[in-house]
This record gives sequence, structure tokens and C-alpha cells, in this order.
Amino acid sequence: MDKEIIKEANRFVLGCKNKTPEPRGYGSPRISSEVADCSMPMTFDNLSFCGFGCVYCFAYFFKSNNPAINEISLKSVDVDSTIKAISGHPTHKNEKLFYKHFYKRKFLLHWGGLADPFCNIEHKNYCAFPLIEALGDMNYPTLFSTKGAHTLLSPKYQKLFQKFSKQRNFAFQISMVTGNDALARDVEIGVPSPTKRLEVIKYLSDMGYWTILRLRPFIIGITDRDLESLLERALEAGIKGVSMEFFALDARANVGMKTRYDWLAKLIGTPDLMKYFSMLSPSERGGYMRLNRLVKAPHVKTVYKFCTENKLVYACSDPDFKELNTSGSCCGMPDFYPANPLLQNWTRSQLTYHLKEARRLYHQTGELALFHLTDVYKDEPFLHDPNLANDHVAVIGHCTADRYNLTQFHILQEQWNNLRSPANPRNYLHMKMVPVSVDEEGNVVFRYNPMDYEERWVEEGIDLTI
Amino acid sequence: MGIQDFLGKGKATDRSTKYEELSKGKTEGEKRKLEMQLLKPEKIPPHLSGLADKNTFSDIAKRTVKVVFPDSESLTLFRKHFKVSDRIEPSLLGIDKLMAVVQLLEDRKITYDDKSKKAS
Repeated sequence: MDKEIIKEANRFVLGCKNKTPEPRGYGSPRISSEVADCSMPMTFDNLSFCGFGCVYCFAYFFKSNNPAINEISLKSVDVDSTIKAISGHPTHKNEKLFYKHFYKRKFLLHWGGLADPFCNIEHKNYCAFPLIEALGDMNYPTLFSTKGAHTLLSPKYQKLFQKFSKQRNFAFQISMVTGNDALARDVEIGVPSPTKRLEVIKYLSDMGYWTILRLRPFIIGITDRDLESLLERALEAGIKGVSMEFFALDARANVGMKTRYDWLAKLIGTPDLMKYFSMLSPSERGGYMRLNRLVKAPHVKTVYKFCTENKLVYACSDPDFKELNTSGSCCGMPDFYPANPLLQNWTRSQLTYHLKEARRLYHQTGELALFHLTDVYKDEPFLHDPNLANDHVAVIGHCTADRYNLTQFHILQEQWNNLRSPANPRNYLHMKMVPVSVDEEGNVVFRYNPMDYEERWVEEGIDLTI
Repeated sequence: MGIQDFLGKGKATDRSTKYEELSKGKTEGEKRKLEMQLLKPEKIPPHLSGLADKNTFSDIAKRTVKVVFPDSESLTLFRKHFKVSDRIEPSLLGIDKLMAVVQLLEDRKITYDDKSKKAS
């Protein structure tokens, strides 16, 4: 691997792995910036940094752009205080808010948004252990997103997850960009091998836990090289779903990012990654470049077919092909989970669920669904709480008075009605939803827009009614 | 309405089918080149308005332009020759006279010189 990348990863991320985190000072959970189409908008990390060095890491892209992060200060959430908050005794303002809107009704906690809960830091310190044990004791539904097979297979964690295996309040997304151990070493520094990760999928699945193969980011040129074999191996290991999202490129690249881009470009076979992405990404989505549907289609078809043929949940977090989700959660959580219904406790008030329903309606009846803002984002009081939108990127540019009155719903409404916004459903989903009118409340009404590929796939015998 | 709305029927099929056929057995580098040649995204139709309101989807909105005058004197001069309503928001009342001037330009019965910024 490129020496500069290893040096940078050591400076930025892996340097943390031998550190002991400060026991408090990191604020989490937070509301996901993807609230518009996210089934689990309460996203949690226990640490301010991750002890894995993945070359494609989007959190690295965000964090390395922060000029305050030259000197790494590794901080943890206050574990005792978080346990108290979840169990009904919140003390701080944020804890009270999250208790009111989420903990109280045992809303599914998604752990692993910007860092890996079972990374090398956890492997050394076990600082998250008391919190995970408490979540088990409380039967609190939790989905982990991780690559930390070595930590999960440590005797301490084995014992813990054995203890709660009948209760099944935990679920696991195991992330992989390839099934090839050698190729993985080229893009993931200090991360357990794919073979080890498949082992942990089997281990957890055999205990009865809901496990998901998280093909994210799906890097065209890397992930597709052994896709069929990876899917087969994961199925054999016991996965219940596959969740995919394609690698996206931030146009605002610093030196560290450019070094990583050059390395990725070399691996996928293009001389200039920035040029490749800017040429193939729809400009309507802004500077966070996502390749267009036509490039992704063959890979989506492979995974969708595999999932439907093997009765797995197909989940797609990508804006393209989001309509193909077979559950309303693009992380791959089931619509129904009788073994522990608390794992169904994610929100349907988001676009993934409604797009999936619209695609099914069209292929079952031929009817074209209409999307109304107040239908899509109904029944979620947290969307209307002004205290939960203060740290949304959209508040930048608003004066302080506006900022403190702004709610997540206001932000969603502004994006919904602004047809030039990259976050507008028309642009973000690249015409999967088309604006057709304005309703009585003055909000744009969108309509499901069937596309060529759907007709073609149906002709090929692919079932789109699921 | 329907499948042809965005990706024109047959158009995208041709490109993606062609890509699938041509990429078989190719190296990663060759595949990237092919993608860049064949699979560029289609531009989605532009929208006139940013923030949508009840007029956004009307035929009138599609035929509407906003004019900003360089200074108030220019607007005063414009008002002298054309009827401007100030009700709700300033707008031109009656387009016939303006269109007659435009038609003269079109028929080259009057001309406009970009350099001197004068009509003759």
C-alpha cells in the first residue's frame, strides 16, 4: 500500500488505538443528517474516533476537513450517564431530549455511524462493554454496524452475546467491500480480514441474531470483482439481509483525501478518480458525487436477484434504486421480527419506506403513488422539536433566532419544496419522484416515476412486487 | 406518463445493454473507460423556480420572466411607455406593445447596437 496513506492513517486514526479514551466529553447520540430517508435517525457512537483505517472512510473525509482535529483527543461518551438516560433517568439536556423522543419508547439505537463500536480501541479498552451489557439487561433494541470481528470473538464479548442470544435485542451489520483478503488489505488498514468477518457472521447467526451483510461502500472496480462468491459465503454464514450503498466522492478534497483518491483510482483502474466521478455523477446532486443509475444497475441487479431468490431482505441506502428495498429500512432491518418485536421499532416516517411502498404498488396494480410531505413525515414528534435541529448543517446561514426555532420538519419542508436543492427528492433520487402539483398546504406533491430498467427486469423475470 | 417519463424508452436500454455486452472479459481499466464512454448521466429537465409554489407547475410560470432595471430612472422611463401594475408585485400589464417592439427588432425594422447600446 501507498506509504503516505499508511502514514496518514497512523497519524489520524490508528494513532488512537493505543490510547485510552477520556471517559467523557463526546456527545452522542445525534440525529442523522440522512433523516429524510433514514429508518433509524438516532445514530450513536461511543468514541470520537475510530481505530480502523479504511481508505474509503467517509467519516475520515468529514473529520480530516475539520482544522481543529490536528491533535487527536480521543473522547468517549459518559457511559454511566448514558446508561442512566436510557433507563429513564436522564440528567443533561440532550439526554432528556433523546429520552423523550426515543429511549422512552425503545426506539432502535443504531450504533456505528462515524466510528466502529468494536474497533481496535474497543479491543484494547472494552470501554463500551458496560453500556452494551446494560442495553442487554434493558432488552434495548440495538443495531451494530461493525467490522470488528476480533473484538466480537473475544471471550468477554462472546460470553455477553451468548447471554442475550435468546432475547435477541441485538442485530449486527457486518461491513465488507470485498470478500478477498488480499484486496481488503489494500483498502483497509488494521481491520480484521473478510474471512474473519464471515466467521463472526456465522458465529452470531448461529446464536440466533439477525445479521446483515453490509456492502457499503460498494466500490465499483473492487466490490464487484468477487461479488457472487462473497454473497454465497455470507449466505452460508447465515445472513438475513444485504444492505448496499455505492462509494461517493466528496469534491472538496484535502491533501490526505487526494492521496487516498489516487490510491483508490489505481485499484479500480482509472487514472483520475475525480474525473471519473464528475463525468458519471448527475450534477443535480451537488458536490457529493454519486455515480448515476446506469453505472450501478448491473451490480444492483446481481444483489437484488440474489436476495429475492434466497428470501433475504434486500436493502439499498443509495438514492439510486432505493425503491427496490424489500423492507422499509435501508439498513436491512426486517419489517416484522416476531423473535423480538422491539427490533421492528424503527420509523416508517421517511422516504425509503414510502418509495418501497410506491414501487410495490406500481408493480402490483399499475397505480402511480403520490407523495405528500405531511404523509411521508407524519407521526414523528422528534421532527417538530426545535431542540433537535440545532446541529443540522442546514441551520448554517440562519440567524440565531431562526436557528432556535428551526425543526427537522422545517428543514425537510424547505428541501422538499426547493426544486433546486440537491436534497430535493427530484434531484437526490434523480427523477425517481417527479413533482406534479402543489397541495392545499402549499407543499409540492411528487409522483412515483417508473423507469426503463423496471420494465426490462420484469421482462427478464425479476420479481418487483416484493 | 409512465416508463418513458425520464429515461426515454429504449434509449437507456441500448446503452446499458451495450455496456453489459462490451464489458464482458474486460480488465478493470477497460471497464472504467467504457463506463465513461457509454454511461454518462442524462441531464434532468431544468426547473424555472427554486422554491415551488402554486404556480410552479402552471403553464403561466413557464412563460414568466423577471426583469430588473439597472436604476430607478430606467424604470421610470419604462413606466412612461408601458403600463406597470404595482398590485401585489410590480408586473407588466398588457404585453402587446412590448411584443410589437420585439417584432420590429425581429423583422430588422429597428436594430440595436451592442457597443453603443443604442437602437436605430
